[in-house]
Amino acid sequence: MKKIFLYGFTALLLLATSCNKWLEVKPDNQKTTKELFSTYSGFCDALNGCYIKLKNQSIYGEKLTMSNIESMAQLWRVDQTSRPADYELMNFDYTGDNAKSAIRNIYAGLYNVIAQANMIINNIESRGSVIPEASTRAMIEGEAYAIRAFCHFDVLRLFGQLPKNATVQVSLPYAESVSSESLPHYYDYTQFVAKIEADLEKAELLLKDNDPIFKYTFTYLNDFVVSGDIVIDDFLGYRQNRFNYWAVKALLARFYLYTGITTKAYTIAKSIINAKGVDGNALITLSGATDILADYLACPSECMMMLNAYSIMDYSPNILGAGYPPIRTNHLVITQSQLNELFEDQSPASNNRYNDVWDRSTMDANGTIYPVLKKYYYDTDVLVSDYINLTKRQVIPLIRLSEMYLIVMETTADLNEANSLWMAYQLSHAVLPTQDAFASLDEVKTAVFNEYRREFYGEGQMFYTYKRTGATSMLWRTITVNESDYIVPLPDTEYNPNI
Amino acid sequence: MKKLYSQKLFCRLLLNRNSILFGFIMTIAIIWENPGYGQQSLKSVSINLKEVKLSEALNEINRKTNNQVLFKVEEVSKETKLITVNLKDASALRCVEACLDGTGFMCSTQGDVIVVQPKKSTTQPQQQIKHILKGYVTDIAEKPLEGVAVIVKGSTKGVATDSNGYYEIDIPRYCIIVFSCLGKKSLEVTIRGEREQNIILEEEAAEVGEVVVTGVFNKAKESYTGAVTTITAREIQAFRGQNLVQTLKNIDPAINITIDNSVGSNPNAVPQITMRGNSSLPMSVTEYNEGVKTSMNTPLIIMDGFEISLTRLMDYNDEDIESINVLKDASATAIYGSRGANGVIVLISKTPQAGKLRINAQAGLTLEMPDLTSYDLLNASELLTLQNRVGLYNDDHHGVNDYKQEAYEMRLKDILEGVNTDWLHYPVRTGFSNKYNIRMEGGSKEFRWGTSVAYNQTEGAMKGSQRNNFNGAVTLSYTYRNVIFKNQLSVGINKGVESPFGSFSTFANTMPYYRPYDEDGSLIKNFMGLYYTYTYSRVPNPLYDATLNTKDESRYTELINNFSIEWNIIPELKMRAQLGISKKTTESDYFLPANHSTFNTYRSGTDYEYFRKGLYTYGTGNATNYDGELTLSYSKTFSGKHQLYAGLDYFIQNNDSHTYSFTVEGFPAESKPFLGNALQYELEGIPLGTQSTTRSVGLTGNVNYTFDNRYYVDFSYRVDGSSQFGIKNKFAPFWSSGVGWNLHREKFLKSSNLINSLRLKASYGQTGSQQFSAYQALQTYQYFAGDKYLNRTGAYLMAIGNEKLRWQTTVQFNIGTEISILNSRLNVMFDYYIKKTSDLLSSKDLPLSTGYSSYIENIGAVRNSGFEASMNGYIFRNTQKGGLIWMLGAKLAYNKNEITELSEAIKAQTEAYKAQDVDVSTLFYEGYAQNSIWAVRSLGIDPSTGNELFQDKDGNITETWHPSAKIYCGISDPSYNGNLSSMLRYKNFTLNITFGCHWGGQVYNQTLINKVEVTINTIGEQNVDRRVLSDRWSKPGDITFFKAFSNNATRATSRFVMDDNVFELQSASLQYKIDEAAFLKRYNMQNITFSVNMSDLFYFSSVKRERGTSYPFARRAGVSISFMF
Repeated sequence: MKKIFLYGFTALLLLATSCNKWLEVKPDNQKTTKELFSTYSGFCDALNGCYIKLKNQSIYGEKLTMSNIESMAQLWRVDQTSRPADYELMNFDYTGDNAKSAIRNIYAGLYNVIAQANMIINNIESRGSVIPEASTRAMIEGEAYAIRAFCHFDVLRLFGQLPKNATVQVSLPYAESVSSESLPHYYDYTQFVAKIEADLEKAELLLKDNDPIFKYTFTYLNDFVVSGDIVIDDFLGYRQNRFNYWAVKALLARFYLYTGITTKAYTIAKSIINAKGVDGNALITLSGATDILADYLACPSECMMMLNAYSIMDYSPNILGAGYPPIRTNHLVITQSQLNELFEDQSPASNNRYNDVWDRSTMDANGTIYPVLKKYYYDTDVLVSDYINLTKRQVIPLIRLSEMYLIVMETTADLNEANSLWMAYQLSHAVLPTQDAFASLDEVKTAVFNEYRREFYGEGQMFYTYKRTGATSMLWRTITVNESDYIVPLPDTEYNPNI
Repeated sequence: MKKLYSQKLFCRLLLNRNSILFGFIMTIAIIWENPGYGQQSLKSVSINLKEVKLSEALNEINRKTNNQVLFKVEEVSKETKLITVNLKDASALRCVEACLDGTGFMCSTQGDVIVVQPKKSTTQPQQQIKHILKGYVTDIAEKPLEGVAVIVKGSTKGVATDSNGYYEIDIPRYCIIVFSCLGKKSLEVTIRGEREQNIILEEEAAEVGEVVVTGVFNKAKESYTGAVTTITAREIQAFRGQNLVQTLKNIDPAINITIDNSVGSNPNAVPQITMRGNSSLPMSVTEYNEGVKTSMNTPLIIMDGFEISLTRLMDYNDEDIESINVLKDASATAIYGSRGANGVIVLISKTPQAGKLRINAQAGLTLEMPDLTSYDLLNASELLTLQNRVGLYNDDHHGVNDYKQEAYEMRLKDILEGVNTDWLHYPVRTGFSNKYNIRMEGGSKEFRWGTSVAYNQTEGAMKGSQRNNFNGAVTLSYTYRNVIFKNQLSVGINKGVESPFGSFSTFANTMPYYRPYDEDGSLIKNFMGLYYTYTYSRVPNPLYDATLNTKDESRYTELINNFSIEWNIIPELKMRAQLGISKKTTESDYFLPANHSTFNTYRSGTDYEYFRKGLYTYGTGNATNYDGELTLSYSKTFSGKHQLYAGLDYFIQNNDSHTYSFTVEGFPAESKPFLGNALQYELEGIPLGTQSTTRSVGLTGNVNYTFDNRYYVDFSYRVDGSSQFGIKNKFAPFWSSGVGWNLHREKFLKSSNLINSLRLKASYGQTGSQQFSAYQALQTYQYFAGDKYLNRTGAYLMAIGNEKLRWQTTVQFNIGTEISILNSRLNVMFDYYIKKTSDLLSSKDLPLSTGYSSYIENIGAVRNSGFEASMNGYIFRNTQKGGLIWMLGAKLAYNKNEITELSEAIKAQTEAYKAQDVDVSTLFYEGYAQNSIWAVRSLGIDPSTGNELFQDKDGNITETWHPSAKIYCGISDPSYNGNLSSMLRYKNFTLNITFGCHWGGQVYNQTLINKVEVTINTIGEQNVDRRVLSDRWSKPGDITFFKAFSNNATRATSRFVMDDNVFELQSASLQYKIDEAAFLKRYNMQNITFSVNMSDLFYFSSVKRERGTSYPFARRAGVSISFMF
């Protein structure tokens, strides 16, 4: 009876309306998943969306590079009133409201990027055929896997248990699909690490030979769009700003070092240092000396992977105080004596980081000097060509060649090798080594450890370095660091659906 | 009786209430007009008589006028005067008068007949015959009754009252006059020479002829099964609030306005209204908000058949409203199908009446007086003491201590000098609101016109805040044979201006130890922040910003044109076609000049930022709606007892809207707020825009059958097609059915003296709601606006889609009765309903590891059940003009909301939350209301530590707040909403008072937390309530309600769940009406009404908190005067 009514009335309606299509209205500024992934360009947009999310200030745009994560490594002078979240994080007070909300934002930000990457991974299988070039398709998929692994790896480094001598075990969710039904599974440390490794290997496999870097050099790819090479697809450029094949390799080295598989870390890091580009020259070289001279203080040229953050000058000066005299309480700075301590075992006078990457003239309103980190500062009045902005000035390094040097030095069994790399490394920082060689590998390890702090200040690596080594003390922290301090608790909203 | 039926049917065929009245008048006119105005229809005649006898002369006239002159031959033949008359084309009366000139006879007309009789004296007979009786006929509520038959008993002589209820009748000196009208009790009045008689007619028990206007079909109330509240223009006048929405709530407590403590009495705030509980949940995911209306539960609002927005309703000129029908149950709303689930408010605007020009003019003035009694802030020295006590002036960090100590000393010095600024009084004022309205109408029976112009300026209680409305309307109607053409054009021009003082809370928060003016009396621009020496820690003086040339206003212009043709094909069958077009343009401006404190952080040292100071955000939008409707209705009575009504309605609608906004910046200092003065577009700024198109079609069928006026059934069916239904199900069916029984027409009650009317009815049906985003079922990607990576933009997944999403449907059962007893002295109405919404859509929390915090899911079913009852009775009912009438009324609405069913997934998730101590924003449990408050049970403040003690889930006492220990603490909606009203009339005075109340709900008193249980940092940033100093725990042994000072915010605790019981005086009005004074006639006026209106005069609440945080609440008092010409 009901149906008769429905059909009867519908038929009458249709008769009157004549066209069912009249009722089809689509939004102008949105696309359904199906629509987006029906073109090559759609896949590109989705992938670019991942990078846009990655450079968001809530994660690698700021919190996981400049502010929160570095506060946890005790690197900044933090004012309680104007920077409550950083203050609580610095004191490992993870139950504080401000810390909680900061952690929640980081966690949500990372998993949101993962979801974006998963959408590409889950759709490229069935719909990837719209991408004309098989190699481009593999490249996009490879980058998506790399992004997924990269974010999960930092989830592990932040929220996971200690990689060695852990007394507290932590399970973490590894997200592989985007669905409200199958919630991400929780895995214990070993399983989680295996998941990351598998994704990184998959990425490596997909990118191998398919990455444009197997045909062109980084330099060429950074510039060709601007220089107008119309032979190559635009989307294949700027490989240093994307998870390229070598970035994945470098990530693997970092990953093996963190998980304690040092031999693999050593081999991979060394292979990167020795790698040759398609032009027969070294694939990538340490650029500390040249870049800093050119005022590219984040050393972009030696980046295996860096983010392009075009608005970096809109926000970073407000955080790090560069170019914003006088220094306010909310700026993340250090004192002059801290800066001296940082470069204690160096010859500060000639170290280009001490001289150029830190501005030692900045003062607060009272005239007290507070050195500021200039790594993310550039003079906006100096106009440069587009690609310089994209690949040299508006950048946030994620993995640099310097780290590969430090990995090899830390993991090598050969003191001579360590010494010779150390020499090259120091020269790139305009430091004349005070001693020709280390006397033992332990000395190397100490030097490398301190070098992480100096080299990657404001890049968010130091906390993980402390955590990796299980350090019980941190520079500029007066009280002992406990195991629980290293394990950031998951946000309150999280729960394990498998239990 | 049979005649009554046919008239009623005739009425029903016509489309709305006004045209029914009109139709009714026509009917009456047909019956009664002829006798009264008969002589005018006499033929013109020509006579040429020379020296003839009077009898011959009269016979001659009779011959030519078809025997219209009556005379007694014996009398007339006695007349000796011979008659000589020569007239061409004169009326018969004129001819007779000419013949009688100089004779001993006179004439008078009685109906069509001219009576000739001997003169008794020279003047008296004239007076005796021309005895004019006049007066007004109104109903109990003093509403003029139009079309009342006024008849001399025992004769056919009679007239009908006009639209003002006025009549004038020529009667014998001594007679009985019968006043009768459909739906009213007839009244016989004996006339003993009186010349004026004002009459009040009482309701007849069985309100025959009363009609329910549903906006689609018009149904006789006697056979209507739906639950409906009808609000008359008079009630609107008597219970007026700040705007029409408030007024509605004052009249019917079933219309529930969500109380927003933050917006207070801001005239620009659009309230949220619901009827019969919430059946939809707001979905927090911001991405979904586009296309979703501000409130999910807002009823559909129809004005003269055309859908309008809640904002428009709020701004509408209430003098133009004839009546409002509030449709509540499925039987009433099913004809609106997918739009009707939240109830429907149908507005009918006034239709012009035929007759001579009538003018109705009103002017009013209302004062809006801020009510700051709930504020009790610390003074300067108390605040400084408190700040010092909690350690804000001590620091062991980097020598900051010195700065802080210095700041303390500075402030102490100021306080000792007498600085103690009362910031609260700077932004408030007494607002003077004006209201003017003029309405004119007139025309012939064929062509009628009406026009109205109204201007309403509401000045809020905060300086500079106002809302201006201009409303104009023109209605034309033309009747050609059996077709009526009608066109209504209305224009609404609105301007809302926000106070330059910004949020009231800024002033409540500003420290009293700051002085707004320096020694010279000029405004200080910035205060030193908490730590004096820190150059950049500056606190802007909110008064300074208020003096600047800022601008924050929004405007709209809405034009609605509604054209309809009504064709009475045959008496039983009628067709009506309507085409409505509306166009609304909106504009908004937001301007901050360069010297505004927002730009304090911009560095002046660099040209770059210096020139960026000052900004202007301009927004514009356009919405165009079309709708067309074709209605066919058939109504017939078969063999006297069977009445059938059938209607078919086809409806088609298209809504297009878009908005754009952009920001420009860089204004020279002192620049005018003019967009063109900007130096550039906003840095990195992009234009924003929204766009939406929705289309729908609907076909409705309705059948109503009544047997012997005793039993009736009603059935409606509608199929709706909508672009918002998603791809797969574009069409959805809705239906309702109802039955009713007029018990008072049964034999056993017909003769009852106690019960005048008793009706039972029940209905059941299914309706839907369209208030959802069209695309929420889809997984969609959105492009980043204003962001890029390298040289390319990107797209991101907006939210996790849910392909299995089903549309939520609402089925509603309603049973009701209407009783009228003791000669209609007591009237009772009662409705009970059960409203069940299944496939309830809600945002469901997700673990963040999915990448999103929530998604939209059908989480289960919710049931709203409750009753609406109203009762009114006359304590005194003297229906003579000027007699004492006192009526008391009470209305009560009760609603219970309960989640009856939850999906397994939700239940499992909630269990997981509990087990793993997860804190989520929303918790759902079967058997509890949607808006339940879940909090951890508090055991109070530990006197030894000052920390709050909680009971954990195992019943142990703990200091740790665990989300898993949350228990049910109450429900955030009141269960009972009621009002009490009193109407007292004596002579020309009318006094109306309504009290409102609600109880049975709880509130989580966040305002109290924000003002009293503040963190230490907050004390450093803003002024706080006095209780922070006196009632917070400070040393062991203190027994307090509030915890010790700390920097951790208070989490959901039962301590702050408070019973929400409110009793308030909603409105009071006193009217004085002059309608008999001599000067009225001199100026051709019918009446003048003076009234005094007051609203929100007092407010008692069981919840103590600061009311009106962003905007204060206001009390209102006003006067108005109204003239009718």
